[in-house]
Amino acid sequence: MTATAMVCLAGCTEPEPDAPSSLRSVLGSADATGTGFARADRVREIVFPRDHGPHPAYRSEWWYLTAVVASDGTGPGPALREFGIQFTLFRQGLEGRPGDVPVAREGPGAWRTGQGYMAHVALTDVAAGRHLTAERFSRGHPALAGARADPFRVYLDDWELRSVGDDFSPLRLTATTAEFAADLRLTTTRPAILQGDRGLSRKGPANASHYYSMPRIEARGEVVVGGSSHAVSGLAWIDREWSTSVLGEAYAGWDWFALHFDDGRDLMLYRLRRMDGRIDAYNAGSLGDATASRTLSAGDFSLTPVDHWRGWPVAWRLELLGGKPEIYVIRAAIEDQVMDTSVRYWEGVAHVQDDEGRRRGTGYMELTGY
Amino acid sequence: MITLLKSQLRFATRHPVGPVACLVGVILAVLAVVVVHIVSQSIRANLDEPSLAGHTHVVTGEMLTESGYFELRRRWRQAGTDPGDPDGGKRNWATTVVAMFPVIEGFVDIDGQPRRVLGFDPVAAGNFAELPPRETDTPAAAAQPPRDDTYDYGRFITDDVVMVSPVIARQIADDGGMVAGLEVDTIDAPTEVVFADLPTAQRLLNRAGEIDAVWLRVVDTRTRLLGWLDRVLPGITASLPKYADPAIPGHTVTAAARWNPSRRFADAILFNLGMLSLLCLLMAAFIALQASASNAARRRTEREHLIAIGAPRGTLRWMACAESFVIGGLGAIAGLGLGALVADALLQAATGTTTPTNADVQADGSRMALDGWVVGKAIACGIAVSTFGPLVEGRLSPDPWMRVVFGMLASGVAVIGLVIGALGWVFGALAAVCVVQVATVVPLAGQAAGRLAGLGRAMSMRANLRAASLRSGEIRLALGALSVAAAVAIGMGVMVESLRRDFTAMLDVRLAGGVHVEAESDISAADLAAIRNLAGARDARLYGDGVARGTQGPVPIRVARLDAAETTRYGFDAALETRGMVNEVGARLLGIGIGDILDLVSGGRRVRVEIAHVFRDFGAAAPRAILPLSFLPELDADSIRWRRVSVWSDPEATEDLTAALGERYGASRVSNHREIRDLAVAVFDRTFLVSRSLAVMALLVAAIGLYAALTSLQASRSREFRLLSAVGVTRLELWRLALSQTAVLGTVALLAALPLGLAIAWVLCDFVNPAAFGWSINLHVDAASIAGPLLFGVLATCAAGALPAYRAAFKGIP
Repeated sequence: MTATAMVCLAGCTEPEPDAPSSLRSVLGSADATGTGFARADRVREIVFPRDHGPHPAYRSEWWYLTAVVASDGTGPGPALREFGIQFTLFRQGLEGRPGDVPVAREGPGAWRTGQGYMAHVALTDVAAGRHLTAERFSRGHPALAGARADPFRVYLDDWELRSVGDDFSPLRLTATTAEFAADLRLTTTRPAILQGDRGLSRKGPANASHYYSMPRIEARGEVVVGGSSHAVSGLAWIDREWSTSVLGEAYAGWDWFALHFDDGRDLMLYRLRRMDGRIDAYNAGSLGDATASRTLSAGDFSLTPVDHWRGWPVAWRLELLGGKPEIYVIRAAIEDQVMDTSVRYWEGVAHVQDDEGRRRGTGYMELTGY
Repeated sequence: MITLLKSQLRFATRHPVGPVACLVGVILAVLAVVVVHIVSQSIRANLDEPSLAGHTHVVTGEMLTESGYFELRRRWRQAGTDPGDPDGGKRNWATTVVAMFPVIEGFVDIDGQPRRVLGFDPVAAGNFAELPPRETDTPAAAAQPPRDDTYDYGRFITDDVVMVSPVIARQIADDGGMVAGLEVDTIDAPTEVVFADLPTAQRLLNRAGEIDAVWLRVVDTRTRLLGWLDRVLPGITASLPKYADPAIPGHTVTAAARWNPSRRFADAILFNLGMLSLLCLLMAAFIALQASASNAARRRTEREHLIAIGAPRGTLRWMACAESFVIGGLGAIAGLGLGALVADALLQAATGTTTPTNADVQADGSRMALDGWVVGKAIACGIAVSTFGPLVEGRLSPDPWMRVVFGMLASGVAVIGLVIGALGWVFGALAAVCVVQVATVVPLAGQAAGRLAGLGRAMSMRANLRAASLRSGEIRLALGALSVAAAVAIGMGVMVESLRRDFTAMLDVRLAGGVHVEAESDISAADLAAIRNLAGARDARLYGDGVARGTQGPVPIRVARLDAAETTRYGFDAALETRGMVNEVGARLLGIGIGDILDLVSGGRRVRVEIAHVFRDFGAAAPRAILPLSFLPELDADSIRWRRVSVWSDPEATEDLTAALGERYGASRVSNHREIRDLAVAVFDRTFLVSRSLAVMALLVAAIGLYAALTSLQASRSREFRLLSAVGVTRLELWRLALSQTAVLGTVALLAALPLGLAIAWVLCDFVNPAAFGWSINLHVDAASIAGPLLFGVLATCAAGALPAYRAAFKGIP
């Protein structure tokens, strides 16, 4: 799940003429009301590999990959340098389609897929204290941008996440921009976690999305930045979500975390920020390890901002309640990891420390609506 | 400090002439800037095609197809990442390209008129802010509930939707929503082009899978800098190469401005206006400088008193600057308001349109009448020109030798500019010549007048010339400004008159007595025969109009029987059967001449036309070719419309013939050649109204500067006048003496303006117009164009000198 998408794909119950800059406001939609699209309003069996692919019956969808990696000293670059890599492909349905519609390979039909795509790529170079971003748009077209379930492939021009073989895993991410490049080989190590109720993640009384995560993925490859190439390895996280109406009008934004604990646990949390400031009953998450995972509800954790940078809450106190309480501080690896794209949000590497200041894990944090 | 302030205020209220002159100069300068800004915006809106998503370059090539576009896109995205790639390397074409999108162009019939269709991929274009905005003030739009603008955008790329003007939308609706056999929906937008999503356009043009070009948006540091400069002075960058043209192996890359002639036309006009506005600014700066010097001269005694009682010199200087700052601010506000009114009046006179209203401003941010830029420019100009004088006062007094050396250097720049001949260089040359005029010619002419004093017989005349010579140095800036303003007025006047003469001569030949018909549908051979049989008709000629594609864009073509009678209309003296003609704009743009081959593509077939003649085509912004009937088999017959007929008649029969044809084809589709000619000339005159007005404004500003200078000069002569009064010279004689000296100085400056004015006219006719418009103009020096500015200059000089002379003669003497 990426909270950005929650806001920026803006699938609200009603059309939002005053909604903040969003993918829909950029790419538009022939069906402004969303009435022609299916809604995520009941549990739907999630089946692989089918659901790795696109769901054109729903208006909004994203494929979201984050990785925290470090140079391991085997490449030409300096050793032990930490990087964060984000790749997101957003799909916006421009018109409601009943299901997977065959796409023409060429001619006018190939241009009329009814889909728009936006991709974001970002690299955080923690040691250098810099955060680089890039953004692209395209309409759906077999030669330009699209998504496919089997064999898995999502792409926009030459930014691409695809299965290397016949199976979903291993995968390969390739993204090159004017300032940096990433080429990662990704291998899943744990089964997908269906978030919420068997993959139906409720974000309010009338809003929900279909949502699953691939929480712990081994990443190995190469990062090029500042003219230097770095052989890197680390852990990645993939989120998949699709919906037509994600967030209601009562919400200003969203804080989201995907964390890998050093003890092998994977934690996902999101905190919906209500306009009235109250804690939302639909805050949720999941906590899992190599053997099992469980869903967290609003009463199972608390998140409190403890430090701000230019209005962005870049450090948080996390309390995991129930059983033996655990207290952590989640802090941005560097403060400025603002995604200065057409949809502005904060997304970047975060470090997890315990209450004695010892490092306990790493992951990604996302802040929207600020 | 309070004492100093009081002193300054007291002086300003007792001697308001200097500050008021400065204020008026600033108002006029700001007015000129505001007028040029608003008029420029209007010209851009009317002449410039929408710069679709800010595109700067057009990529063409042999057989460019959709797959060619995808391949080019792949190369763009991957350039620099693969060392073996021909586009590899960090510094290549791909690094400056920020957007790339496919385009298809063609024409469809809407309500019997061929309309240009432009299909493109708006998502790849990416610069959504620069896409044509949805028209929100049309009745149709108002009737719809408010909605997200991107709703239309979504429809645009999912359905068969075209973006057209409300007028065309109504025409489509009248046709049952059908265009070229395809049912389409419409979105209203302020455009005369039919915009469509690429697949929609392919369907409309029946060209599935084809594209014509790939458009690029190239951005680099130079682009940003020039873009900013262009906002400050519209048109100033028109002649400069805006973009480093990317070289893409295997493709032809052309700057969009070259592809789009009307844009060049607009830029050229803006450039002229920008130069005139610079001239007005220059005049205003001269005024400020002169007024400052005059004030300083008048305040010398008071200033010495203040220094004697301990006032710091620096403080006094800064207080003078502060006074100028206030004058600049007030002048800017007044100039802004007046400028908006004058611009509106000029536009109404020139085009019959008005500047955008507030509703327009809200509906379309790009057409703002008084936007932040113009307000900022007005205030900055006002304050800059008014504080310029005090800041440099007393520091610009080069000795005569320096002046000569400076003049020679500037002359060198002018010669180099003319030799190079590019538009920017030519204007640089003109600017250099103007600088020479102010810095060297006018001061030297003043000194020469002193030398002439020795030749005079009457003593009073000799004394007067000597005095005038001495005084010329004190007011050289004002005289220089007057001289330059008069020279520009002469140059513009002579050029416009020359162009008018050639233009009317062209019309007289091309539109000799007869009637023109533009029918709603194709005219058949039988119809033509019937027309020929009408009473009074001597001959009738049918013309086929279409569009072919040249190497650098669409080329309108006309097919006709090119016998000697027809070619004579275009300045050729023989029949053409296998060769064609091209207009001057086309010859220049395509780099071809007589004997060369014009390469065209029509209906996918290559057509090679040998050029027999290059004809004048004043007013045409785009290339145009005329072909004999023998080319018909090679052309796409479906794209040729046979709807224009010229009927030649005896003068006395023209009226009856017009009525008869009007009855047959509708009165609105028939026009008398004479009426067309008169209308064209009237449009010509209105078009140049703005230029003439700015030239007069420059003269007016210069006269005010001269007035300020003379006020100071005469005030400083009070002791001399007292002495003359004591020896028996009457006040009237003193006034005549002072005024005659002013007249001498003005005459010297205006005489010096004559050669410069003629030089400017020559440069405009022989360099600027061919470079900017592709038109050649025969220089014709007419007396009225010269006498007018000179007479106005003399009158302005006398008017400027009369009051100061009167004050000196009657008020300055006890």
